[in-house]
Amino acid sequence: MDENQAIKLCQEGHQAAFRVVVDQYGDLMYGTALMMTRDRMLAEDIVQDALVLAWKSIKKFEAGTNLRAWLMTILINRVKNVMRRKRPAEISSDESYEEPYSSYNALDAVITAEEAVRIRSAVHELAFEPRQAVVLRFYAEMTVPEIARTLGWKEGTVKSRLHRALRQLQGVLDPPNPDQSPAPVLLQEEGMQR
Amino acid sequence: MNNDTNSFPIEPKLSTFFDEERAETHAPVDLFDRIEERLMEQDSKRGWTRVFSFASGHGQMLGIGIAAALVIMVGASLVTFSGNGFLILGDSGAAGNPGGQVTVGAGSPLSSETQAAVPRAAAGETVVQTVTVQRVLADQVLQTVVVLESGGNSGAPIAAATVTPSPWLALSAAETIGLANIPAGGYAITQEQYYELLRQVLAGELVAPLESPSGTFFENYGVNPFTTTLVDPITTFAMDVDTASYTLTRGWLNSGSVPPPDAIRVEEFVNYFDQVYPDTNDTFGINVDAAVSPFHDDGRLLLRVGVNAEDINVGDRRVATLSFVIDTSGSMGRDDRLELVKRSIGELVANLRTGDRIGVVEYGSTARRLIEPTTDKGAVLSVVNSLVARDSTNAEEGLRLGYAMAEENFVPGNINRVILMSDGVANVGETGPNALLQDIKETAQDGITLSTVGVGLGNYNDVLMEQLANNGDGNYVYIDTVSEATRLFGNGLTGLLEVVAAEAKIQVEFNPEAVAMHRLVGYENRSLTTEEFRDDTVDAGEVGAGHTVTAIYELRLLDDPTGDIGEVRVRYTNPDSGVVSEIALPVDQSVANVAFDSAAAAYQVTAVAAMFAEVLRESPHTSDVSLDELAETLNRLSSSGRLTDSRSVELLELILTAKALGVTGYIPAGE
Repeated sequence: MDENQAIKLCQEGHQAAFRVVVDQYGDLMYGTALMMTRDRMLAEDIVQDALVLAWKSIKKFEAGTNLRAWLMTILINRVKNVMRRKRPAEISSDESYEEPYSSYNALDAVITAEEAVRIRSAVHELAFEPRQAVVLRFYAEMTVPEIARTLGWKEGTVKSRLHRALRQLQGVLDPPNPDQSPAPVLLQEEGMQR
Repeated sequence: MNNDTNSFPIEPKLSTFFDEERAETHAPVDLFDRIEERLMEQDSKRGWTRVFSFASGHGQMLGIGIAAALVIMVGASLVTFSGNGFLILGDSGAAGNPGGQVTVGAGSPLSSETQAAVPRAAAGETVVQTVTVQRVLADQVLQTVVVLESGGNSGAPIAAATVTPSPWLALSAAETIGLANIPAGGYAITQEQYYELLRQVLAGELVAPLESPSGTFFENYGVNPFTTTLVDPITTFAMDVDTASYTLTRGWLNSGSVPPPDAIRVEEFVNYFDQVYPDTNDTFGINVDAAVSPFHDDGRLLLRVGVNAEDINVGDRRVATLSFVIDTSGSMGRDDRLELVKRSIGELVANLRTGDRIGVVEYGSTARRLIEPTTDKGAVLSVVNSLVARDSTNAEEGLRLGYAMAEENFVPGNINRVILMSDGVANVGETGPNALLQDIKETAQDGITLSTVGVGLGNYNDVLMEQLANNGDGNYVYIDTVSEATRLFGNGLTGLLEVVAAEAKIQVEFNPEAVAMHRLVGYENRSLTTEEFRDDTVDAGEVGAGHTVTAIYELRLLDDPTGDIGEVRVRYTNPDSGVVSEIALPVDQSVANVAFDSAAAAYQVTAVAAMFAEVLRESPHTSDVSLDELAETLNRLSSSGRLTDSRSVELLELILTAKALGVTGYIPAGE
């Protein structure tokens, strides 16, 4: 069953069809929440809340429009709500999450496990707003206009926050090396679809 | 450093990092189940979803109460109310008054006429007042309480209270004010108790217990949900030829009561009707047809999957030794219960074949052997006809004695059957049913099977009667009339006794390229896992000669379906040789090419019977099915001369009776 048919059935009230949506987007939503909160339990709660809310508002979803962006908007609102209520100290990273995934140990990996851990912790050290921009851009692979709509920012704001975030990450991970050739890939592809 | 936003050297690594993280991060595997669970919790708080089982002994009274409640609520549905508080939906004392919001603690919420009626009823005058109260929290109806009061000859006011969603709440309410036992007509309470009950309900002091009480008479096995074919294309269930739920329902409706929803098993409605499948020379024939449901507005298909067992002549049936175990406890004296038993055995004796033997055990507080298995029909009938109902019940002792008789008279290769006839096995001795059920199961493997025959509606224990027959590899029937006795023990006797397939199962696999979602209507307590289909050690269903087993599926096809709808598989064990066979039939899309009105009459009647059962059990999938439409389908068949079967005519009458009793089926929250 494709996404459109699933949505149609969901809108008729068939809860079972919602499984198609959950199976399709659950991982991405969970991962996004985890990147933003670095707390597995919290991320699970957020994803559940977001999907329950999505089910309840499924009739408001306009068929044929971007389901992924719609779900991400609901998710981000949940994340923002939760994070707003908690002080930073209350959000403790769970320790198991500090371990790099075993895939980083592969011989042909572009980055090493040690680098992965450093990047992960650098991402988490970003302030909440630039972190949202980075996670949506690179993890959820959303375009700048999509991010702007989801977060309610201007596109220029998204760009400048991404820029500052990248500079900060660059500084933390890889002190500038003027000899290295630039790799202009990610930010150019604003119109890129997944 | 280059200030261009596009040239951070970190980016390739960052990109790889996020790709890897994305590939490795997975939501909990049970994410959807958790979401479903949360949605279910919220539904159950919302009001109409029936969560609790009926408490023992009060089913009939509550059945009446619920009918009344639904009528009233429909009548009062124009009242709108939001926020928190209490609402009187209707008060029969306030003529033309649709009710209104109640302020707690501001005196009696009742109309002055209703208040005045209470002492009049106390003085012996017959009055009937109806008050419906809802407690509403944040726009959600938490409780609806209906109080019916009427005075009578007793001189005391009588009130029966019931509550939706939970009838149990009414009992809890009654117990709170010191009423442990509720007689069939309601319970007697004083004016003070009456107001105390209302006060507590209004003050929200009565809370439904979270678990259903022990000793329930009917078990709620839930309603199968729609399943996404992509996620799970396969359904598997044990065959079931029982019809007790239908005849029980007929008994309830004809006595003016709405059956408790838990008493409804859709498959036992469907299997009551003659399916007119073509005769088969193999053990089983498989039959499939479908049409778009005229009862739903979403274009769903109703697929009929039917299996018919080969029929055999009476003379070809194996010789049987039948050990009857007959309940002669006091309650069997009520109505014509014992009389139905006598007529049933009379019918059976008239249809025996040469060599069949019958023995009889009776049980009240103790059990006795009345006659050892004999071919002397006259002797059997004179013993049975002299039975009288007297004292209390000891079903376990009766059954154990019946089994002892069957074992002593066991003939290898013959039918060796114990037949329990009772108006309900409320308990089976001190040890609880599990030990007995286990013994019955083991003895069935040794060749002594058990059938259960129910009579009478009062303290009827449907759950145990069905479990006993399931464990005993026999069948469970319910007899409400002499003609039902004739049907079962006359023409139906061969099928009742001669099993042609044991451990019989049906599996239907749907094609995800054609079917978006599927739902098996009924067979909830016969459900098996996909793997159990080919596991021949799993206990499944026994099917008698000439019996049919039919299931209705609701299907939503894809907008652009390709390929077959699916495949039906049947697997069973030959009871004599122990050989296991499996047959299959592919189902292509052309089965659904026929319009509902031009489909076989038996198909239409079966679809109506299934939907009727769904309405009676308040299935949430049937909220748009109306009894009028069901009756209309049968009327149309009748006027075109296609309704020739007396059972179908009777179905029409039952649907109209249910409608008159106020049955509406599932009402979604907030409507």
